[in-house]
Amino acid sequence: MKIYSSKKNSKALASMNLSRSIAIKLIRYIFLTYFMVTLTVTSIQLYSEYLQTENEIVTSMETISQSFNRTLANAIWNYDGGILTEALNGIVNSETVVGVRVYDVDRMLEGAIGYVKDRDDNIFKYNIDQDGKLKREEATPGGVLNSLISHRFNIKGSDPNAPGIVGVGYIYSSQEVVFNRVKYGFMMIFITSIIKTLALWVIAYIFVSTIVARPLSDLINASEEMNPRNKDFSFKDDKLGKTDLIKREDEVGVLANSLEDMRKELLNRDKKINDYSVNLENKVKERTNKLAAKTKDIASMLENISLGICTVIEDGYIHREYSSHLEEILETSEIAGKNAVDLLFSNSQVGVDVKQQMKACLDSIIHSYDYTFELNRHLLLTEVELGSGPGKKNIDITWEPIYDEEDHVEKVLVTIKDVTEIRKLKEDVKKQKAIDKITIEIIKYGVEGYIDFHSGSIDHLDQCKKILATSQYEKSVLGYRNLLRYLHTIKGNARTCGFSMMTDSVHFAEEEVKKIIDNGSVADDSVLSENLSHVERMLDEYHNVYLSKLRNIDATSRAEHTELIDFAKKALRRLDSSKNESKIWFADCIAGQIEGLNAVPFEDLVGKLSANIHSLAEDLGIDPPDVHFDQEETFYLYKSKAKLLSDVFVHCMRNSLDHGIECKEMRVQAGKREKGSIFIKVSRSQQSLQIDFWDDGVGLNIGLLREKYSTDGRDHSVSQGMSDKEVADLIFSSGVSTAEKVTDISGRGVGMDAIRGFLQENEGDIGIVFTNDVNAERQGGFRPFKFTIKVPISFIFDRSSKEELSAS
Amino acid sequence: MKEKYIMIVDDSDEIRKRLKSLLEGESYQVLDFSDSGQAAEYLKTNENPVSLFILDYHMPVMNGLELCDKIRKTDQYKGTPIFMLTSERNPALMKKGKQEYKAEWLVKPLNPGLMIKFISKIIA
Repeated sequence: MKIYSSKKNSKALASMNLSRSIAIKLIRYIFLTYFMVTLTVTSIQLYSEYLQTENEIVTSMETISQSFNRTLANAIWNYDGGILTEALNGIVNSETVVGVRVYDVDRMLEGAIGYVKDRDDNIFKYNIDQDGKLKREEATPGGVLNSLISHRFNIKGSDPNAPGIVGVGYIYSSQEVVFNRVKYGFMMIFITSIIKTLALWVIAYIFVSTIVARPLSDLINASEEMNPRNKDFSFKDDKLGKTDLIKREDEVGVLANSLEDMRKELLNRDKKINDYSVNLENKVKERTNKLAAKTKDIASMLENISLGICTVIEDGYIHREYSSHLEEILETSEIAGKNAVDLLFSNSQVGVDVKQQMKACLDSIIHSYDYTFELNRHLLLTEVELGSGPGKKNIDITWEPIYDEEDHVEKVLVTIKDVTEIRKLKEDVKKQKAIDKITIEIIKYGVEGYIDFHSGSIDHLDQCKKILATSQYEKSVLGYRNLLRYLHTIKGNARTCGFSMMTDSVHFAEEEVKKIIDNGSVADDSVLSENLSHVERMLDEYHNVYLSKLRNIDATSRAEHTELIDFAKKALRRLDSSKNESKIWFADCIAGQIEGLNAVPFEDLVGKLSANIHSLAEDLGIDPPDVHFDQEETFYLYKSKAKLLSDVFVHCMRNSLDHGIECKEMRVQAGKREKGSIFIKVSRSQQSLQIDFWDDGVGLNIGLLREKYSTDGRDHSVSQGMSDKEVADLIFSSGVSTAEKVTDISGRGVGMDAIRGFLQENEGDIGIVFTNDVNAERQGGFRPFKFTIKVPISFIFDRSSKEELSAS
Repeated sequence: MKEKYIMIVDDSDEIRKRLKSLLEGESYQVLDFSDSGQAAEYLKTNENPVSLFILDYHMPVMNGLELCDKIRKTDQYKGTPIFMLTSERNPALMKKGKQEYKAEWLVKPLNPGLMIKFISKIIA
């Protein structure tokens, strides 16, 4: 039976169990209800029909009994068996009668035909045989005959002589008779009921199909179309023909509207979910890419980093991911899955106990709190030497925890660094620092003093060693005290000389001896012996520095001295054959040569002054000027003379900075370079050395000098009558300065006079030469000038005299 | 400030005295026992609530973990920190101690200075 229609082979409808469908259930319930009602009504009808028919039969039997009463009464009264039999046959021949029995009141006469009951309700059949005699047979029990319907009647006498009742009769009918009577009626009722039921079925089917099944199947089909994939579907879309559903005002319409609302909500949610999904997908993708990049970076790092990196996991095993360099450091490729402590320290001198401690430490750390790591980490070695001999490696190890989400240590990150080279370099630097320190200490104290210290210390140390070699008894009696005295002497000397490392080294040995003396017991000399060895090594170290660094300087000076001695010997040999006046020349010549050993190149002197000028300029807050030096040839100044000239130049420079070179702004205004310049030129004449010193500043304020000279209580006319040169020379007079203010550097009017004095004492002089014409335009009374310094030729060390002598 | 009680159970007099002196120097009240049985009995009295247990693993009669078991069975001490001291490696015991009794293992020799520093943080 197909009650639902599916236009597109609806899967929902196909999968639905039709016997469970609302429409079928409705039809079924209606039909069953109707069937039950019809059955009940029909049964009542049939029963009623039956009872009515039964009554009719009883009535019929009464009528029969009445109509045969006279005949029967006569036959009984007259004992006429023939008539009785005829009467009984007549009764039995009636359509509704199956048997009849009569007897008189005295029971003298009795007649029966057909099916009758005796007093005990046993059914018998009486027949009249061929001879006209009544014959009784046992009736076959069963069938409708079992339920005989009986009618008892009295046979009233019709004869006037007869009593009122002459006999009693029974007429029997049976239910079979009744059934035969109602059979047709029953049939009709049954057929009518079937026809009505079928009609109802058809009507119910049509109505249920039209009113319930069709709208529902439309709704089912529509809801099936309304799936997330079919986003164009809408109940309200005219083209899809679903508007009928939504326009309905019944339950289906309500349901359709609800579905439409649900569809919209679902679409919105679907969109949101889709958006979330896309967003999530992008994020996951992004994260995955980042993670992949990170993993790649980490893998690349682990592959290329020059560091051994690995992680230690549970039970102290090394994780499978580790840096390639680790294989190089540990010289094995079997790393993953090995016990970290066994692997890292297998080729070391680390003892079994320490290894066990470290293993226990790692076991305790994993899956524990951060403080457990901190409280155990001191047991993890951070430095180890792997291997031995030339291939020995110095390894630095760091152990750092990696935590999980619950802040427990998940694993331990181990970084292993081969620091052999670095350690060696550090050692070298340390050694070099020690060498430098020793060098400085020896130079400070003096090489000769060092040699004395060294030889003395060696002697004392030898004494110490001798004492140490004596018997314990001897040592205990006096030995240790003497040993302490020797050591104390070495320490005292070292301290006096400022040899700090030596002092420290001896101090430890001294302390050890003191300890032995204080304890007074049998001493273990091994520590003391080691301490003395250290003192000896330190002495050697000092001496090695002396031999490698300082002896060469000594040798150079000795070589120069040897050269000088050779020179002197030659000079003396020549002196023997020369005139007396030559002796003075030779004496001067030799003295000059000796002094010349310390001669300073002029260039060096200017170089030092140039460096000095920077700090001077900074003090005055101006840019340091450039110093231009020019010399005809390389001049060497005797050390004492160089000092004098240095003082001269310092004053000249101060003068330039304070009075000559203008500030940056003024220089720019005057069209000069921002930075000032100082010039020093050295030239040689036959008997003297001339040094010109000038700057590109504003020059000397002649006008101001002239004025100041007048205000110092002198007659104004005097200064007015003086030439510029005479006025300029006033700066070499005590207390005269052109400076408008007194600074730390110059301006007090003292200095230039002192300089002239020093120079003159040394057969030199200093003067001023103007570098422009007297009639040239002056700017505010200033005239450019230069200092001319003259010193005797004896200021310079003349190497040519030695060469000349050597040649001769 | 309420006094904090720390229980030390170790059969080594030296370690016990050393830790006691350090902890008392930091104003902690120290309950020290050389015998784990006595320590367990003391806990039953519930006299002074203990803020931290420092137990040696290797002890005669009742070892550190057995004492741990008794401590953890006391409602009051279900979450109290326990430091278990050991000088030997035994990964299985350590796992058991960590997982079943939430004990933190410290391997001897200890760093007492650091211990004091962390104890002040743990039971602050």
